[in-house]
Amino acid sequence: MVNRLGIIIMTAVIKVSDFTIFPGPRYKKLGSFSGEEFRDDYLIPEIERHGSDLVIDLDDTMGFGSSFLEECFGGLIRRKIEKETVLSLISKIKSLDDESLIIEIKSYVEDAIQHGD
Amino acid sequence: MKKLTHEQELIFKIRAKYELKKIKRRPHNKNRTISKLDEILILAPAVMDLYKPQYYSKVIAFIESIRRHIPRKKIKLCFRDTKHITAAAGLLFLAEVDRLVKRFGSRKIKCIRPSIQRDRFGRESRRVEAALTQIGFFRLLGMKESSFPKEPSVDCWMVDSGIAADGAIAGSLLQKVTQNTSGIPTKTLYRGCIEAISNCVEHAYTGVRMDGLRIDDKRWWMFVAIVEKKLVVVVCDLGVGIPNTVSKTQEKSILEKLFATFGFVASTDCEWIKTATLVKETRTNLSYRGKGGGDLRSLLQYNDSASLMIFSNRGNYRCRNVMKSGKRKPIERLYDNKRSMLGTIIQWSIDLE
Repeated sequence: MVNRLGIIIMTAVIKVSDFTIFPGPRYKKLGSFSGEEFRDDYLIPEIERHGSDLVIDLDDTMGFGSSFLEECFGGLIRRKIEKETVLSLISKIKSLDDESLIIEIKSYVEDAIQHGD
Repeated sequence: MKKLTHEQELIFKIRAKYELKKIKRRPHNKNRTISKLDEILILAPAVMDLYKPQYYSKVIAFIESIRRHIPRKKIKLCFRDTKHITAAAGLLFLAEVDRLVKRFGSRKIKCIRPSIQRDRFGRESRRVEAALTQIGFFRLLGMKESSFPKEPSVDCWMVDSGIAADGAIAGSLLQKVTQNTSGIPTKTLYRGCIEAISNCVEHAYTGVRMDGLRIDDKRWWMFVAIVEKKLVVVVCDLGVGIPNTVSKTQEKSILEKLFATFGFVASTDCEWIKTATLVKETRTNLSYRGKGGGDLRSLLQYNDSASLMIFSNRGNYRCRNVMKSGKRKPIERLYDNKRSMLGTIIQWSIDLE
């Protein structure tokens, strides 16, 4: 990423495929590589380190169940991550294999925000 | 002993002839079982298929017979008459036997192998035995697997099972079967599979299975194959069934909205299955849970030749795409069978170009 002074800023990238190429179920109790595990053990620590200057890369996996995506991203709102931060992260998601995932994730986050309100 | 008169002798002879005729006219054993003191022979149906109601009943009756007798006797399964076995029936049969072997041991079940089939040109085929070998049935019973030439039509059949929602098992099976075939929506298939497996792990075994055996086995089984130029993916569990879980896992408000939106109220098993697949479309603003049902239908949204079939307890729900005026339109069919399979089978299939 290049800022207005022309200085290159290294944006942190978190790849789901480094976590697993076989994303699993919603909760840890149901099986390994769950949405809950990715959110709590990988995503939230990176958000705490980098804030919304983070790119989440969904490519190079076998695919995602809706439960994994909802728990991972909708669950950020339930974990009290600021909604502006979450919405900013969603706008930067990289998903060249399946761009419809970004729309789907956005709907889960918006539902979670509305449900929380 | 008093000597019979001529008339008495005649009466006895006539009566004996009549009794003999009665024995010969006695109807075939409807249960297709022949019983010895400690062993029972159970005949497998000629067609092991769940897709047509007339074959479905026979497969379920066969499985029920095995479950009924195995606690007290040794079982000998006879496949001599079996000429055809389909994906869903094969997986259900394997899952049931796997579960019973885990509880009672493999020594309780023996098997008479299928006969050689011949087509109208006299060509030999061991397709049924090859299919049972490929899905691991004989290995499960500790029997030797025959080493005759493999049948190409069943060579790519793959089966696996698990207890947890393990994406690696499902994903690896899909990769193995589809690696040499292009144009398959593996991500969409994986999505459906991982949701089906997750639902099984979370909901399928929340109650006691109504087979009276009280076996503690919470596995799911998965089958992937290329069958007659179609990719077929099947996930099976032997739990309480979708009709017994949907009303408990979904909020009443969501169900009421769903029934109002789609113009029906679920009361039969097949209607509850349909309800489960429609929950995602009505979930907006109401709950963050319960979105997985839509994943079962996602293949239909992205592929013209896709079809979805769900068996759960008595219910059967089918949905496939047809092209009308250049547009993709889903066609549904749902009905209840007389017997319950006591579990759930979800099958996706797509045509391979």
